[in-house]
Amino acid sequence: MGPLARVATAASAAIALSAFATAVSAADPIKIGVLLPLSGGLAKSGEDAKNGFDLFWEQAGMEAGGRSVELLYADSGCNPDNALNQARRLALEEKVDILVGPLCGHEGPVVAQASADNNVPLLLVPAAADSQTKWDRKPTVVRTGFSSSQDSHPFGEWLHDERGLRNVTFIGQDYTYGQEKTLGAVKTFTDKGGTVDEILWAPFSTTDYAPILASVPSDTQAVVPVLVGVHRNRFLDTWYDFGYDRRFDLVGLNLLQTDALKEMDDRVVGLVSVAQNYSQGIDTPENKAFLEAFIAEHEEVPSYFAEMMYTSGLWAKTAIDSIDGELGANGTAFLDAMRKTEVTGPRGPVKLDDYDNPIQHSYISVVEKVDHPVLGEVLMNVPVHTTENVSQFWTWSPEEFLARGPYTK
Amino acid sequence: MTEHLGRRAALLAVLAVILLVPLVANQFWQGLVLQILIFGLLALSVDILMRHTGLFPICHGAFFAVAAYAVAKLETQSGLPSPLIVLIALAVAGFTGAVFAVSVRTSGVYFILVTLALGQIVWSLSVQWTSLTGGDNGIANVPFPSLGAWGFESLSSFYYLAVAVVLLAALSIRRILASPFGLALHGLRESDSRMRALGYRSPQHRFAAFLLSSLFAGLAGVLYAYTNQFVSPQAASLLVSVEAALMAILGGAGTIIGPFIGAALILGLRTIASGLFEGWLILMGLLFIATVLFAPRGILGLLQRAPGRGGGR
Amino acid sequence: MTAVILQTLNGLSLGALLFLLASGFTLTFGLARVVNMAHGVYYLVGGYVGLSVIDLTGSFFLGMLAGGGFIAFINFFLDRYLIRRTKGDALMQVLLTIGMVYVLAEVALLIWGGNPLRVPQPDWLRGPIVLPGDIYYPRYRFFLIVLGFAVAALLWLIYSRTQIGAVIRAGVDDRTMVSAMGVRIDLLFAAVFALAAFLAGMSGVLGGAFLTLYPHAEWDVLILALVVVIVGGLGSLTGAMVGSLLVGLIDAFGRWLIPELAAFMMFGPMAILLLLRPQGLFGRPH
Repeated sequence: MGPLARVATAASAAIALSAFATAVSAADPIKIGVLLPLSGGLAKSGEDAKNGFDLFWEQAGMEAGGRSVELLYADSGCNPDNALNQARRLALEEKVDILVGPLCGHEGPVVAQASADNNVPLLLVPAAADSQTKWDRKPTVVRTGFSSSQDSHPFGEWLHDERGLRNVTFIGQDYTYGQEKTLGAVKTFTDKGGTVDEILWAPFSTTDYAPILASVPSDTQAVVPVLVGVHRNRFLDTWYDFGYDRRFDLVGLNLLQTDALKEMDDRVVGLVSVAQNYSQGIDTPENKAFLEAFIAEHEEVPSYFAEMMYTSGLWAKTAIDSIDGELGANGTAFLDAMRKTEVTGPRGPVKLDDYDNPIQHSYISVVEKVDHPVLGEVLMNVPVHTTENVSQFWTWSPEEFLARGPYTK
Repeated sequence: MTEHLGRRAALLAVLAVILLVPLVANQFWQGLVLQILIFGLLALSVDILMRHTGLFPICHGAFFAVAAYAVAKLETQSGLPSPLIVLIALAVAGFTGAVFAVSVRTSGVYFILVTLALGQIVWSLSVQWTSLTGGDNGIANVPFPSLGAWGFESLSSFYYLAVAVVLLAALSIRRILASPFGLALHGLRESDSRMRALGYRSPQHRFAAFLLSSLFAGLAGVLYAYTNQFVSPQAASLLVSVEAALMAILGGAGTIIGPFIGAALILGLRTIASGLFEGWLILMGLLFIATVLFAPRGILGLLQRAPGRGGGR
Repeated sequence: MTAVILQTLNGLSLGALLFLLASGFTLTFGLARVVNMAHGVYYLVGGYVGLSVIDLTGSFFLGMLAGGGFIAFINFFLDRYLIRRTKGDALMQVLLTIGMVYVLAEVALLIWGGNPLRVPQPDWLRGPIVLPGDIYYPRYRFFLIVLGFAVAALLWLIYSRTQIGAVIRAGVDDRTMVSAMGVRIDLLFAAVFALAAFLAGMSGVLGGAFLTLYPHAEWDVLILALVVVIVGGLGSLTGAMVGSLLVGLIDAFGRWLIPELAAFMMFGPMAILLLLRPQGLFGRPH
């Protein structure tokens, strides 16, 4: 046999083996397949998310609706090709009942497609692209995270009404999430009568923020950054190094989430830095219990990724409990239950709107130094302004919003 | 069994397995096999330059991506018939190839670095030019190809078209490389001066080879957009270009089938390993290193050198 | 006018950092025709090691030495047992060293985690200097510019005025002749490799103090360094100097004047230059 023949035999054997996988019976555990980046640049965010999900199911005793729950994690690596393969593998080979994930925005559409094609319900979280619960919905997909522009709308109004700013400059990360998040706030801020002096777009290739900051108009009142990942720290370092804090007000819309706070010093205390559907300082028993449990296990403040997944777990379990573990053909009963279920997680009460996006509180947070019994002195986000029950459509009707089209520069 | 017959039988067996997949296996396997064929074709397009001109490009993700974006954009927004869209996409890839062909003025290490930097332009555009590319979210919901009322409905029906296209592409590459043009390319690689003396003009030949290679990379991109029904900047990333080269080398031995074997190994490893443990990128890195150190002529090269167990000897 | 001065300084400080990284790359290539794509990951790992040492000892200077020293140390083994076995095949070197990037970056992720980490600046370099015309400029960046010029001057002196330099230059032109001169060429190679790796590791500590260290930084800085050597000309020290300045300044002014085309501003002129001068500004025709 030649070399090719050997390769061929091996390949045929592998495919033949896999082709005759057997079906599962009904009494089996509920299998939940989770797609997160566990390697590469976003591995830390993926790990936070995983820790949040694991924590919930440990607390719930790995049980829902009288059935045991089995979690299967797959590393998508933030690569859509691999996310698609893994979503299909989980759905078809592992025969999971529910898919959860992904984290990266550009993985969202493929995973949603795999969910719809194979009739496996998907809890879309934390990937936030507006379109997936607006113009590009799938019947098998419900979102348990948030939409990019959802928290921007109340923030824009707050910037004008409460903070009293009239002329601001936005610095937006130049990609879909950054654009949707930035332009949502620009819309409500200008609708209130505010003036945006300039929107400076910072591409991912921005190594140095000094050139961008030098372009901020000198008569602007405040700078509003909407930055992600390492760009947040890099921006702030440059901000202080150059003494910009002495010249402009700084109000973050997407700046100092927990993971970025770890590398910051006391200069950021008192800075309003994030508008989001979660804030570590929320003063409710649900949040305090979550915070303490997470800190006890991981010795760090949970990031919003951890909360996002924790509440997704809670939401799913409550829904499954309500139907006694009978998920229905292709999980349709489960999806219906998710749409009817209202739960209160660490982030507050959540329920789905008619477009399968959560209606939830939106928090504008300020950085405070907290003396924590386990962690010692630690920087944490604490809400300064809460808008209750915020819809992804804000005060517009869904029809009006949908007709207006996506936020894009 | 002679070596020749064995090879032919093996190829037929592989083909039979590939054709059987939609009948016996689910979408996961269909998708994986198609991904292997598509990235195999991309690797083969890299191989055209690598084996036959001695140039090593790290920019094929760019041709792959522009064609995929063209298909995605036009299929979702233009209403043009699919065959026309495919032609436009190939033209876009070819045009990009013609522009990037500036790089054939260089050679050796310079060529590698120049193509790498050129490829990055397309990547940064795909991320930044949101109105055209959808930015980081990419373009989703690309329908399967159609012509008027007639069209493909599902992955399993489109599957056969994709396999046929890859097969035809591979066969035509084989033909082209065996033609006087292909032989001239090979000659130029071996001895530039002698071929010049014979009247061959090497810059023009290199340019033509580069263009040809970019067209086939574009074809792979077309199939990719239809198969995944989705395109994102990932398609233009450095990783795609680098992995395509690795697939070509890993399969190896300058054969048509080699790049496909390389694609099967790498995509198979990634699909299995990323479901199992978190440090799987280390495995990928080690695979790169091991290939260079122990199998610079690829898996096929290794197998050919190793004493066969069957009657092949 | 203020803005022009500011952007020039910004360009110079980024250029200084790029020079430290690219000079090593270009020297190794010039001398030994080795293409080492791992320079980006050397930057990252060197930065992380330096950061840990600074956390431990409180000394920025020790951190720089440790970051550079550690990379010089591992590069010795990587070169001896891996890179050298490619026997000068550029294609194989590129693949092999990219493999090294994956392994080292992933191991670094396991050790230092995925959060962006900032190398603390030494106390005496914190805060801004106020220039005439009320221009605030960070002290640390001035330091970086000065250091970049100092290293450039030192390398240039070695390169053009010493016997070692003469041999390096001869090695670039005619390697058989160097061997014939009876120079311990292996020792010379080892010294230059160590220097190049040291510079790459040290630049990670320096860069980490104003750009932060994070997963994927290995690719971001590698691509910038590659543009520097492509524009300047592979193997040419002068090319690395001029290339770093150009790339730094184009980055600063491009982002300021035409932010939408920032990426083009970097790669577009490079493509045009290649059309006119494929070997780069100071490279030798090949």
